[in-house]
Order: sequence, then structure tokens, then C-alpha cells
Amino acid sequence: MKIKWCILILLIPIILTSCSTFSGFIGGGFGNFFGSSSDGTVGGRGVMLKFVDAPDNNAEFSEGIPFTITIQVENNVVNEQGLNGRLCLKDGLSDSFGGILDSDQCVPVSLPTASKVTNKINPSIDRYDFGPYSYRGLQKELSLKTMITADFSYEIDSIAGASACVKRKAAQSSTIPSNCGEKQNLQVQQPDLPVKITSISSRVASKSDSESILLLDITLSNSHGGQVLSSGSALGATNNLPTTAEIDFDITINQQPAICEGVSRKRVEIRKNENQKVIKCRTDLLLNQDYLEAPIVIKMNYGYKQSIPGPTLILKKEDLIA
Amino acid sequence: MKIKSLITIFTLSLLLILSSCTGSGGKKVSGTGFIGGQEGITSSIEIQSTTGGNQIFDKNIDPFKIQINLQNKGEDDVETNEILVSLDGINFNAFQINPSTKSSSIPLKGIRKEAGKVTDPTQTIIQFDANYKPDEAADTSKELSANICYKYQTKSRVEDLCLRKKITGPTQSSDCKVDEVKTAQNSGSPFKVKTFSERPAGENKINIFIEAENIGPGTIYSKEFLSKGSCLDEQNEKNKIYVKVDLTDFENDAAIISCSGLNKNEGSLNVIQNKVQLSCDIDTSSFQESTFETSINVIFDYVYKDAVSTTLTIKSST
Repeated sequence: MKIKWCILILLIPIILTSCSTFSGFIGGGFGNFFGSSSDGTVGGRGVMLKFVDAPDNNAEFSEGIPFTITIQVENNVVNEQGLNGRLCLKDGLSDSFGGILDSDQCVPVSLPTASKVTNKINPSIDRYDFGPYSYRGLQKELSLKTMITADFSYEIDSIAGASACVKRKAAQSSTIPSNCGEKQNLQVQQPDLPVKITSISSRVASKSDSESILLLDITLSNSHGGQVLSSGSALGATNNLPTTAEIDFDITINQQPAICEGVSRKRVEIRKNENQKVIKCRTDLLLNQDYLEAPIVIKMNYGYKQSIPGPTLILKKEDLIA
Repeated sequence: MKIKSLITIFTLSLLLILSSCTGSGGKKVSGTGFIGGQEGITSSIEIQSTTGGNQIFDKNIDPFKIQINLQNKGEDDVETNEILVSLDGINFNAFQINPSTKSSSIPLKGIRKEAGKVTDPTQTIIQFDANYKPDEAADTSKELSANICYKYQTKSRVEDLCLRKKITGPTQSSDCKVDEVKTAQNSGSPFKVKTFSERPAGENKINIFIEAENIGPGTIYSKEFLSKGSCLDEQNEKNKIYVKVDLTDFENDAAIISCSGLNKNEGSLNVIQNKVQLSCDIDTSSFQESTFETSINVIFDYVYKDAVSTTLTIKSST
């Protein structure tokens, strides 16, 4: 009986390997599970600032005690121009107390573009030193609190990409994506920057069998809580910022310029308190094919001012501390 | 006892092996003359680039080839220029592809029987030169498709059509039947006759009913569709097929066969939901009195439009 089982076990592999029709199960069929894909990351975390050397939060300072501050700026954006801006430091007290004076506490920032090696973003990083600062004219009876803030105004350019599927009126083919030509919310690839394209909605109107109009509703949002500045104005930005900003907005659909409402000479106006703006664009497409994944490229250039809170200092006259 | 058991197990195993294998010869050859099969021209798409793996670089630095591999797995012969390949889904300017449609430069013979074996499918390739020009900010994927249109013919045959001069009236029990569903044999192609029935329709009239179907993944177009010069959908030419019905043993088919919707025994039919239905009357008044069997051929001419696609990754060379 044992011999029978042994023979059967020996014969099963022979049967399986002798048939060419089984080769699909044994040899292949799993490739797709391990296929590579690109994540399409452009800028990763965008522009990051942090206080790397500063007094502790709620640290107590008496008159004449010096302190310094170092701020690190990290550029994670891969673009053409790199990152150019102005970094300023301020406190909440008037100049009569010394400390960080209202004038001349700014340094220029110029960081090259981040680099990308095999889908990994390598940011460009620099550190900026401020100080030493010290306070004066404090009163015995009164302790003062002041928060140190860094204001970073910068110019940035960004590229966002998407694609919209358009098909000929009569087109029917197994290779045409199922929702092609219908109303779609497009997937947008873009860096993590303050002015974001939060959605692109597309729809198609057919003019004839081979001519279509692609209509887009593009929603821009101010996502970082700062203020959008006009292109070219960030380096000279003051505390009194204008109520509107004009940013560069250049859109091409299928490598042709699109016509957009509210966009004049490739510039779009954003009001100070406007957190979202919808831009309607359109283009005519002549289809010499059954369907087309029409590439949409949106290039923007703008200024941005963001305030980063630093430590709060408690200022007291020296003998009070003692 | 042990030896007997061993022999039994070995014999059973051998039977299993033989029954589960199709053998190296591939298809079985039927006795009808047709090899059969459901395919015409099959196609695959391949990207030939320096990096391989369907990856190319942007910014005009990585010329590559889009290769369409074509094989004739059906039984019809396809002549030079009777296959058109049109690329689809991408911006041709961005990829610098011109022209986006090409035709076959060699004929592709259909499969046939040679010395009792089925020949291997003939093959050809059509290549497009491309080089992606735009500067991509990040790696991106694009779906690249190719439409393949080819002129093809399906021959269907029923070998036992039963005929005689006077259809009505008593017959011998040994005679063939004029009122039954017959079996149609088809040449290897994606369009086939699925149903063929014969029935009496008058004293000297037989009616045949034919139902044929597109069983492939593609779409049927009129046989003149290739003259458009590209393989793109066009409503006016879509779902039209040319059909001709003839009796093997008779020369004056047009005089004795009359099909509804056609000019006598041939003409164009609309393909509805991938099917065509055809009803024809055969005038038997000139036939012999005694019952006889003959072959009837139904020949379909069309252009078949199929498509293949692949995903292309464009690597940002920043």
C-alpha cells in the first residue's frame, strides 16, 4: 500500500510538468503584483521653516542679557528658479525696549532648487543667524511678555499637471477609458505649496464628430494660512500688504494655450481674504484619433508671506529675578 | 499482486498525461476543410527604449520605438496595405510621431494545412518612431493605445443543404430533411455563422435563415473602410458587413437565391448588437425532381477593428 502512494506522489509532478497548458500557473502570472509605480511627488513638503536655535519658550530674560536666533529654511520644491525670499524677525515690543528692532532685521534668502534622484527629493537647506539681541528699559514692577516671530516672504514658481480624457463622438473601443468624455474630477500632480489646485473638474462638449470643447473648473486655494502676494513683489514686501495680489497663471491644454475667465495677460487676481478661487477655462480640441488623454499643465508664479511663531520671552528687571 | 497494481497505476497515469496534454502540434485539424478558430489578426504592443520596461525620458533626449506585432491566426490571406495601425490616446506632437497611421508592407497569409499539420501564423511588425519633447516636472504615466484595422473574410459552409424541385408533398424516409437546423462550418476568423436553418417556404421554394455573430473583441466595419486611410471610429462605416450566398453546384445563384435586404444573393447588412440575421429564399423550380444534398457558402467581407494598449512611464530627466 505504501508503495502505491509513493508511486502516485512521484507521478503527480510528472503529469503537471509534462503539460504545457499548466505553465501559466507554475511559471508566471504574478508579475503585476510587484509592478513598479511612480508616486509622482514633485515638491514633497514644499517650503519649511523652523527655529533651530532660540531661547526656550517662556524663558525669562533680564536687561542686557544677550540671545541669538537661528532659523532653518528648507526648500523641497523642484522647479526652475529655486527659492528667493526675505526672512525677517520681529518681536512684539517697541524699539524703546531694544530687542529686535523694527528696522534692518531682515536677511535675503536664496536657495537652489531641490534635486530629485530616483524619485527621492533632496531638499536644499540653509540656516540664518540673527542677533545678538538684548532688552533694556524694563521696569521693576512689571514683567513683559513678547513673542518672537519670523516673517518669510518669498517668490515661488510651481508646475501642476493633470490629464483629461476626450474622445470622438462615435468612438467605441476596449482601450478607451470607461469614463472618457464624461464629467470627471481630475487627479492633479503638484508640489506642496501654499497656492494649491484643490480640484479640476472637466467636461466635454462635442462640436462635431472630431471636434470637442474641453471645459475645466479649476479651484485654487490658499492652503498655508499666509498671504498671497503679487508675482515679483515678495522681496520688497512690507507690513502693509495690498488687499489684492496678481499672480502669474499660465495654462496649456494639449500643448495649446487655454482661454480662461478672469485671467488677463496670464495673470489672475486673488483678494486678501479670498481662500478659494474658481477659474473657468476652455479649449477647442481637434481629434485626429479615437481618444486623447489631453495633458493639462498649469504654471504659477507668485509671492507668499508666512509668519512662523517662535518662542515667547518673559522680560523682567534683574533684581526682581533675584 | 504488487506488479499488477503497479501496472494499473502506471496505465492510469499514462492515460491522464495523454488526455490532459494538447500535444506539440497545437490545433486539431477537423475533417471539414476549415481549420477554424476565433481569431483573425492578433496584435501586441511593445516599447523599445534604451531603459526598457516601458520607460522613456522626457525633454527630447530619448528616442524610442512603438512596435506593433501582428500575427495572422485566422484563415484569410491579408494582402499588403490591408492592415492599418493608428496610434491613439496620446498627443502626437508631444511624442513627435508623424505619421500616426501606418499600413502593413507585406502580405500575411492565413494559417493552412501543410502535410496534415497547421502552419504557424505569419507575422509582421509596424514601428513608429517617437521622442517625448515636453519637460515633465515629475515621472508620469500615459496610456498608449493602437487601433488595428484589417480587411478580412469569413467563409461559412453548410455541406448538407437538402433540395429538390417540389418541396411540398410526400418524400422517402431515407431522403435528407428540408426542415431542420444544419451545422455551419466556419473559416478561422472573429466573425462566424452560429445558426443555419432550412425550411420549406412554398411548393418550389426553400427558405434558409442565417444568424452570424462577431465573437471577437473588436468591431465590424464596411469592407471599404480602409480607404479612409486611418483606423479611427466612424459612425457611417461602422457595423456594416458585406455578404454573399452561393450554392456550390450551381452557377446562376443570383437567379435562384433572393435574400431579404440584399440585391438578390449579395449586399451589405447592418450588424446589430454584434449580430446579423439573414433570410433567403431559394427557387427550386429548375432543380431535379429527386432529393439531393449540396453545399451552400456564405461569405462575409469586412474590416475588423481591434485595439491594444500599454502604459508608458515618462521619467523626468530634471
